[in-house]
Amino acid sequence: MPIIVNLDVMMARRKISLGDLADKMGITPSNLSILKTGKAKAIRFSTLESICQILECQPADILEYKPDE
Amino acid sequence: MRKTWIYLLSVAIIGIVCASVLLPGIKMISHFSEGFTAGYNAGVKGEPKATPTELEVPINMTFTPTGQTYFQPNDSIVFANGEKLPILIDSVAVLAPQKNVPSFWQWLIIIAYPIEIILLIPLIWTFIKFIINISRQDIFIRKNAKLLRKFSYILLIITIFEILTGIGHESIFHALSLSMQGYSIDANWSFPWSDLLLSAIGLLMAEIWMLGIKIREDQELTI
Repeated sequence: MPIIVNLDVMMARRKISLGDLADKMGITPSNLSILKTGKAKAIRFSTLESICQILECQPADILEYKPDE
Repeated sequence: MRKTWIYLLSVAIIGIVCASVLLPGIKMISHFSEGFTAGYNAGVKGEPKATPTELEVPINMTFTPTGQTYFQPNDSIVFANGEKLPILIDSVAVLAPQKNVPSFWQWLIIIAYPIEIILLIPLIWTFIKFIINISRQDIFIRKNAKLLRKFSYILLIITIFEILTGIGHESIFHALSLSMQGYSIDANWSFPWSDLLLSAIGLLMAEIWMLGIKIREDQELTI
């Protein structure tokens, strides 16, 4: 899929663990792991809003478009 | 409540399928056993043969009276007071001498009919596996969609063979040019519309099932 999830980069910048972020967002770590590893097929606006709010970033910092070669 | 209902329905369906296969099966084995015993006695013990020496082919046909035509033979159906009732015959089977029956169609029926019977085994087994999965609450899984698709394809193949045997019966009937005064006679065969429709609906259901599974998987991977 040409949509790249850069959640791990943002998490490293903000120095926050997967468990802590999942806890603050109110979702399970396994679901957040699916998103982080790029296995997710879709993301809800509410989830994106929550991530941006906690990590103090923009949606573009989390998601990136790279065309398939 | 709904889960219990699904379970009960599944058990009932499996029961009906098993009964519909086992009861005629037992009857067929019993008839085979009787025929085998008669044949064995005729061959080994030298008892008189129960069947005629000349080979005969049963031809099934339906009768439609062209007017008010009834039979009233001596062994007709009777009331309790002994009064005989006229009987209307709408289907019979005659034994045609084998030499009069076109061999191509005869062989087609001989080959196609056992294939239909053999294909019934995977058909029923696939259906039972599907129902067992449903009864276990494993409903929207890929395996079920594949089982439903397999069931429909097997049923479609059986239907094709049914059509072939039907064409065979029809051709043999026309080749014999049978007639009877007061009746119009047709080959006792009708196109298997219900089987054809069931296999098409099954295929459609399998595709809808698969689509539903994909939607559910997408839903599960939406964070």
